[in-house]
Amino acid sequence: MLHHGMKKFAKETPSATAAYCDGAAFSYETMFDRTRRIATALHARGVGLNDRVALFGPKSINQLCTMHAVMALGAAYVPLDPRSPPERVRKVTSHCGVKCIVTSDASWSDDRCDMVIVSENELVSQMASTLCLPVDDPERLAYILYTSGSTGEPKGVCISHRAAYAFVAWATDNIGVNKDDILSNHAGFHFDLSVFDIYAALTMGASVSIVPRALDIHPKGLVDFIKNQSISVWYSVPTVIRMMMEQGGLIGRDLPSLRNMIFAGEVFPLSDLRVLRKSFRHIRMHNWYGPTETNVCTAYEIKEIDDHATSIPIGTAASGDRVWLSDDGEICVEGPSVMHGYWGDKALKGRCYATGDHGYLDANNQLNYVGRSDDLVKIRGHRISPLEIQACIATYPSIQDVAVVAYGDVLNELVACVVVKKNHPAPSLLSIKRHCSEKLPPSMTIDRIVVFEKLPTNTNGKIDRKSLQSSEMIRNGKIES
Amino acid sequence: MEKSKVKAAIYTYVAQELLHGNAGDLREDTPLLDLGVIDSMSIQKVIVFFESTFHVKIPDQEVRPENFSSIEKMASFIMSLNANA
Repeated sequence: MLHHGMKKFAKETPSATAAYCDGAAFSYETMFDRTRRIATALHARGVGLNDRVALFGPKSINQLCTMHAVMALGAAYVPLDPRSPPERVRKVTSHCGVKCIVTSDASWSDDRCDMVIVSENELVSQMASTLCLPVDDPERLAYILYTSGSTGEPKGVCISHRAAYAFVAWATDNIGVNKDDILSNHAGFHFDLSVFDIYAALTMGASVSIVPRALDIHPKGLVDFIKNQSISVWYSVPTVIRMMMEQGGLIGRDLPSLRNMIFAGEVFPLSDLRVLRKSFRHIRMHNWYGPTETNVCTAYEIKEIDDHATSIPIGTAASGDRVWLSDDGEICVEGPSVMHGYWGDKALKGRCYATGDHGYLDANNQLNYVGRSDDLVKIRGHRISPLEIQACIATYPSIQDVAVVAYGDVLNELVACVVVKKNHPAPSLLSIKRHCSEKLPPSMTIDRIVVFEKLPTNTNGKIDRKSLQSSEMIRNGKIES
Repeated sequence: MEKSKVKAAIYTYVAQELLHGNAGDLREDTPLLDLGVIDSMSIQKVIVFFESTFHVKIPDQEVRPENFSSIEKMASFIMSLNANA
């Protein structure tokens, strides 16, 4: 089971550091003690087998302990984006029917949301007592991660202990994680990248070091963090590594402790990757691929980058999965790391998942990623449904019609193409951003609005998104009729 | 330099460069980080603007969210740098 590592090392190496957070170190013994207290308190509040408990607020040690406590009780945790507005929190927590929301944010109370809110500090102040815990069952859900779905509604990806552990066991072996390692945790707990950071560390008796939020806007601070915290395994989306390269002085920096850099979630532009590979010859670099629904299902270790290379493969199957291309080139995955299904939907048949991503096999039999086959886009590592943002903007008072499209060379800019109601002023970018921020997480904000007299339609009367994306129209801001 | 002038210069910069000339109801206390007007990618441009316009040096340890969260906060931050210089 996913949570057994912490208990095991609390016995074997109690004083070893399990996690670093906000400049303090927390031993396995301390964390296990807190986990027992939180489990006792949650049990008293009626949390039990197959329940759900949401986690909300800034990352904290108690949040890590709450995850373990929830799993020990046989329940599943639901980590929320800490920057989600109340409306989003309400939507997700009522969708999967959580027993309560455990928060690390003291300013949150019941009147912000009609759910039961419990503070971490209150839970951890309880005395631990011996509980009768449910028998281990690897098919039980460990956690639910919410992602943007193509229907425009968020979807809860249900991951069992078996699925998470299949990935973690493969990953710790592939990277060679040992008890001396210090893994960075940059991604939010609601983002699947963090599963590796937390559980690869805690199942191997290693340490996870939580990157302070303040460094999100401070690339040089991130590079200093790697050095000062003696990070040996770094894992993040390529955007963050590129930010450290361009603005944080990563290239040429002496980082003696770092031995693995892993990236996933989006394509790493080859020109930048060449520079990184040349600069850190002693570091192993890994390109991982896998939607939230499958965990990491393919991997490629980047050694030398061929001068003629045009892209970096996503490689070959990982986590014990089988990966193949369907007749029309869609990447399909089947195996132990694949999700159980979406919350509220039927269980996935045969643990087989069609990703919606297209790929091809290159001459060396390595899988390469091409792009998505549906309306979802990848922005800064997050899979986003423009339709969900569109539905939100459509409720803005002066908007008549709207289409949200990804724009730019690498499609990393979200543009709202709007038609304004008659006799209304055009809304400002700021007011639309504010409107979105009340309903959607910050990863789903738009970068620009362009006012149209009318949105282009195709022959069957639907909005022609392809032609909207053509740069000329967005550059001009108006359709030539 | 007077704080009101610093504020006005930052306002113009945010409106022109970060909101593409579409300021809308931008105010001194508009939460720019929360609304994603300033993010990890654009903050470096803001720092370059500060250093060239106000002739200050922004120390690394001062690149913190609380110093960049609104026009008012940024102006106070610039004034504090000037006072210490």
